[in-house]
Amino acid sequence: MSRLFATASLAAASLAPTAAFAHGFAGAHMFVSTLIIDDPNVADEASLPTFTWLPQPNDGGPVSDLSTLNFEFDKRITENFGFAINDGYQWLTRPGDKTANGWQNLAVTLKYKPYVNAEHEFMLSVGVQQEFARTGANGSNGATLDNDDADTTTPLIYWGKGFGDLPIGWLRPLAFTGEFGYQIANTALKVTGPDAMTGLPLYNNGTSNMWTGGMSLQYSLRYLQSQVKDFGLPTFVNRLTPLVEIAWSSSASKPNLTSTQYLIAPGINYTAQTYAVGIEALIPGNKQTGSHVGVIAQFHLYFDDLFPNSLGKPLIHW
Amino acid sequence: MIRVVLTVALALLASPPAFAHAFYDHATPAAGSEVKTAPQAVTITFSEAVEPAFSKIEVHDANGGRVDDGAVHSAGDDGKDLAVGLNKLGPGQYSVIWHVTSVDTHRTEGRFDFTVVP
Repeated sequence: MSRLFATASLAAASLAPTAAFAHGFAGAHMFVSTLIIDDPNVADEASLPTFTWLPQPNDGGPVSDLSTLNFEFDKRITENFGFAINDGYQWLTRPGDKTANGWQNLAVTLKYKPYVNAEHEFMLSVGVQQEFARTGANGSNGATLDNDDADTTTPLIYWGKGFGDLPIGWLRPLAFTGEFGYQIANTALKVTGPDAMTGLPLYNNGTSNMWTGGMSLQYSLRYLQSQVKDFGLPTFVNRLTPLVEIAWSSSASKPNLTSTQYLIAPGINYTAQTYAVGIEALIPGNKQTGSHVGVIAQFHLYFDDLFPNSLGKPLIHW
Repeated sequence: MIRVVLTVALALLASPPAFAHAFYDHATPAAGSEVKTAPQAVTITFSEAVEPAFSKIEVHDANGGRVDDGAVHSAGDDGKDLAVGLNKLGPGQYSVIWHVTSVDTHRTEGRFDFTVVP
């Protein structure tokens, strides 16, 4: 479950790996593991790790680079209900200053998949993500890394739709997935008064509420081969899914200290039987998101196929 | 930490998976193909072994009528090939609808067309 842009004045600092979809089928369509948003499936899987590198906004000055290694573990409790644990370690290299580094705050997501329509290749899930403040780097180091100093709670909705019911064969391998959430600050950001020296407003340690969301458009060559036209291509090619993801976040309350951010991520996914590898460019959608193109890459494990009789099955058959 | 993660990942990759979802690998007739000679059977080869007793292949003509004999059976030694016999087919487009259960009980499904040309 991605911790997409959660609070980020440090641009995309909380961009995190997605979980999801250990083989998330809706009918014949399989939604691949996306990198900057979460996919709609509830599954037994792990992202070990997701690496992200993104040059930060610079306002014309020297550029800081943010690198993160994120980890995610997803476990089904029942067939359609599960949880995910996210954390990550980050490094912020700053020209003329020493590198800041430390753990992100821990995040836990509960997710429930109430509806799958196999005929129309549609899947819908809901979830809630809790980020626990001060579980990562805190103090001045945490502030530099933009770790929230207050908990946040984010209700989320996820969806996935394959285009397999379209009458045009070449469009049927397409799929559209997305997520949308409202991040609620458990401690609201407030102005505590003007700075005696500068007159500028001073704030408490709260955060503003945020809208977060994203979507992906995927083209499954496996679906093309098996459902539309088998060109006899090598297996390696048939396991590829070109895709583009877009993630976005913006403040939903005042006062706030964050700008609207957009990130566009075109790339490719390779899904084998038990694992997947994805790599995407990270293109900042505005100057507040980043100064140059970055990159994200993920190694993803499907426990339902690796360990079908232990780690890869729900804890309770209900 | 990174070394531990990479070691675990490599170990998992190196372990031969015993089971997995069964994906379409190839078929005769192939998905989306045109054939000049009417096939006597549809055979689908999957990426994993499947359980014939819990799997099915149906073949329909353009009017939705069944043209298979309903006797789905394993067609190879490794359990990855599943086949169903066909009635005598005339020219036209046919749809193959399959649902299979791999030996570790994962279910997958799909559908493709092929055309018999005059």
